[in-house]
Amino acid sequence: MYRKTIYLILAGTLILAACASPAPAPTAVAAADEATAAPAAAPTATVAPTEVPVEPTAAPNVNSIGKLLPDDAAPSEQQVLAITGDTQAAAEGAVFMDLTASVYNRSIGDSMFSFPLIRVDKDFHVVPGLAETYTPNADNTVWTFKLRDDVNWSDGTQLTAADVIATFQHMADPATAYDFSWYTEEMKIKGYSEALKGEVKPTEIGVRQGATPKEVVFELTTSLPFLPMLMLYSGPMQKAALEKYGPTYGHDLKTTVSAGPYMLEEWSPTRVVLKANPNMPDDLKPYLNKVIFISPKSELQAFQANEVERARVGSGADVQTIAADPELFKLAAQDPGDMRVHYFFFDNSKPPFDNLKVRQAFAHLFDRETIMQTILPAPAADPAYAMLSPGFPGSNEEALKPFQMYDPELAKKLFAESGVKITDKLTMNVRMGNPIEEPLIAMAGVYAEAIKANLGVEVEVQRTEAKVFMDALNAKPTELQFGFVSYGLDFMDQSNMLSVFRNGGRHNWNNDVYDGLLKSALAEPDKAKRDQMYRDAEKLLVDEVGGIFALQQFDVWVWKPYITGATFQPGKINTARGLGWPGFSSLNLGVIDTYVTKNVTDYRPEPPQ
Amino acid sequence: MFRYIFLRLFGLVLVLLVVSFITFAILYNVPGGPFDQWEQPLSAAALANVKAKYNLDKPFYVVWASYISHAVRGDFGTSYKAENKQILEIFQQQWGTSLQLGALALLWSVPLGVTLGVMAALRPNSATDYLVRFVAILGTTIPNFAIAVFMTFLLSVAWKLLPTGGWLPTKDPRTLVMPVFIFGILPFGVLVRYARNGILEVFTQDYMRTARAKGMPFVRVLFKHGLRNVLIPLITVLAPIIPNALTGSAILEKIFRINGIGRYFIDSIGQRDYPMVMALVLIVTVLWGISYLAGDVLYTVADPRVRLRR
Repeated sequence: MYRKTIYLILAGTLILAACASPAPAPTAVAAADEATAAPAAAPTATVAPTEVPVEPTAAPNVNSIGKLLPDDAAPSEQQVLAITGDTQAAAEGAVFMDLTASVYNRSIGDSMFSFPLIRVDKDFHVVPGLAETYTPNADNTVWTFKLRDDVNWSDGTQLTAADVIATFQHMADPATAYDFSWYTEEMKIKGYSEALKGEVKPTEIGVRQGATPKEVVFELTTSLPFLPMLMLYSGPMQKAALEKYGPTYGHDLKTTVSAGPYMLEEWSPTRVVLKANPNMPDDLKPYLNKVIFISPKSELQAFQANEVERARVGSGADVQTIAADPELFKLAAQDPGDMRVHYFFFDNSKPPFDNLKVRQAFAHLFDRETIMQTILPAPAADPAYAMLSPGFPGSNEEALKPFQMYDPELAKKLFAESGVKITDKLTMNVRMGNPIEEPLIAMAGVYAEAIKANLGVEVEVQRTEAKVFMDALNAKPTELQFGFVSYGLDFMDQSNMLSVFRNGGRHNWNNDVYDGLLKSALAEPDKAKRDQMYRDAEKLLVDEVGGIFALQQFDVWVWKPYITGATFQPGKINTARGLGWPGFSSLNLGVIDTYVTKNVTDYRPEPPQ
Repeated sequence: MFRYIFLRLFGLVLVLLVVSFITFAILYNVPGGPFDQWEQPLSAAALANVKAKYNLDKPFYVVWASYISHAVRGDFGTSYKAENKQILEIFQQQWGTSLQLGALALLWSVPLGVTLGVMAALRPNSATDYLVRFVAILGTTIPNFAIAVFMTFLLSVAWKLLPTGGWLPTKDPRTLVMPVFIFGILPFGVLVRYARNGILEVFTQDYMRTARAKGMPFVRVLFKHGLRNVLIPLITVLAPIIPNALTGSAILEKIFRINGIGRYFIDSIGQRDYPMVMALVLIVTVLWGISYLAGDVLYTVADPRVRLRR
């Protein structure tokens, strides 16, 4: 009987525990909730859907900011997109909303609060952005960008050259310590590098107002015919906000201001909600009323659970999931992404890799076709034989194939000719930064086996944490003897990809002829001559084995079928359905023309919250 | 007792100094710094600017001393990832969520773990006992990330019952279910085992037999003599569970995209965010120190024979 009583008491306790109400929220949480709740309560649009005439047949289908939606678009209330952040490398808690403030510490949902001076279409062609025209002088050393008259900040102030100038001065300021200044230095702006050294004031760099407040003039130290392409990362911050609140003003509802397609509605490290900016001219107004960025650990699971409408098929497990699900497989599209090429590199300053024949011998031992087919088959990757992949301007891969073609007999011959004896075990470091790089270990392992089998040289493959790897690689002198790494474009010009191997750069291949060609090509106004210089340079790079080019990595994305837009249509280089590099941001035309189609209700009855 | 508490708190200050020094020395000297040159290397001038801005151009002990001198004044610096935000501000904004997660997990796991442990002990080797022990063993042996992945697949992807993540207590309470349940599994399993073993052991004691023999009601025997004597091991095991729970879960917060402080544990180490790592380490050290101290004090309540002396 007593036991029964005990059981009754214990069972009661159980039920109480199960039904217990949540603990009262601590004060800090209440404050956080308040902060996030406030914007949700705020009006989300200037034109509420209810204001649209109620006659269903006569009413034009306009979105919340009055933009007429395409014929096949779903009603305005469905024009909401839930998406994962493009910025895989972004740190949790990163707060910068502009690429011109920080590249490596930018938040999800970044690059929405201003347009760069130029944008790129799906095939990486330059199209006008904030600047409607960009005109060089005769020798391409002075460029004038004329800003659009009709783009203003959401607080009503005009966006002028002063904002662009302030942004570039901010990047040049040593106190800013801009984390992507290697890129800005590529623009060859007068005084920029000197400003970084503290030799001139940031206000003295060669970025100034032109004839009107809507004209920005860039004065360069050298001729640069492709400067507009470099302006992809030029979205200005508002001068007033930058001076008053600093470069992170964009992520705070109290200080944010936008001259881009979207405005901030909610920000937290894991969730950013943006609403369409009604202040834009019509051609820059987005179709979508709202975009919700989240950062799930597994994008694909969130996609399958209908919580996001796009996911990157990143890891090997993702690829298997896609392969096992025919419906999902149908949605997957191979996208060239940032034209990323993975390659092996050496410390060329020390034996054995200071010997050209040794490097050439190694270059003929990577059996790309077999390895790709076995470890990372299409659509994830293709074999690469050069730094510039097919589709990249000036790509010459077919002609360069023989230089690093798999040929063990030739490798043995070259190694014997080198006269080098390698008795110590070599170490090959492989950068491990994200799940996409996991298959590289297996590839490196197969390659190491081939080296041992054909040359009798033992190679130990070491997976190395990305930060450790990059620090060792960038150390002067480099601390990596032999390694496997990748590079993806930052701008669509040969100079970008090929500059990886210039003297003083990532590697110590240090070829003066190559450097000379790059320097001459940079300033060459004649495109045909310029392309030839880059072809010659790349041939030298491949022949003299600055690197062993292994594979071109593709991004594989899945998009829900009810998300579409003009940019989603296949291009010439990028034939995938979807947006393409550089993702859903104001750098990409897709940020304007993406919308939700009528058949959305077959998939989701309600828009995401 | 007050003298004891004072001395323990003083000792905690020394522990904090030692812990902070060791942590900083390791962090600062492991390869890889906080500022990547992921694509192309920065020029020497640009790199020098970065180092100067974040005070990284000095030996680690100078930076550590500077950090400590600020920390004692309540200035833990700013995260490298959020240069305008004081770390204390980040804690204010995000720790609350971790506290909610931890408190809710403890709210179900502690009473349920103890109750089921006792129930299992009262009927040893019964079906109930086997079932409870089986669940407890699962809870303590399967890593919570594995349970999380499995549950997400089942409940979110396959059955679409629960969202894959988020933490929206008012807007969508379903977001709480999986993380709260999974975060509580480990303490649940531990408490089941301690409670069961404790009760089993206590019930073999002479005084229990005597109490039953003299006719004391079973309920009274259990609560007055049984559970009270199990309290000591339970307090011992709860002392580390509570600070663990209240600092959030590095893995679950990441998997379920919960905007708490726990996710920073792994991220900030991977990113070499020195100020954030230091603040986390110091706070965790304080919580553990206080938690163990509270446990020691509670021993005296649970068992008056225990005396605190130093």
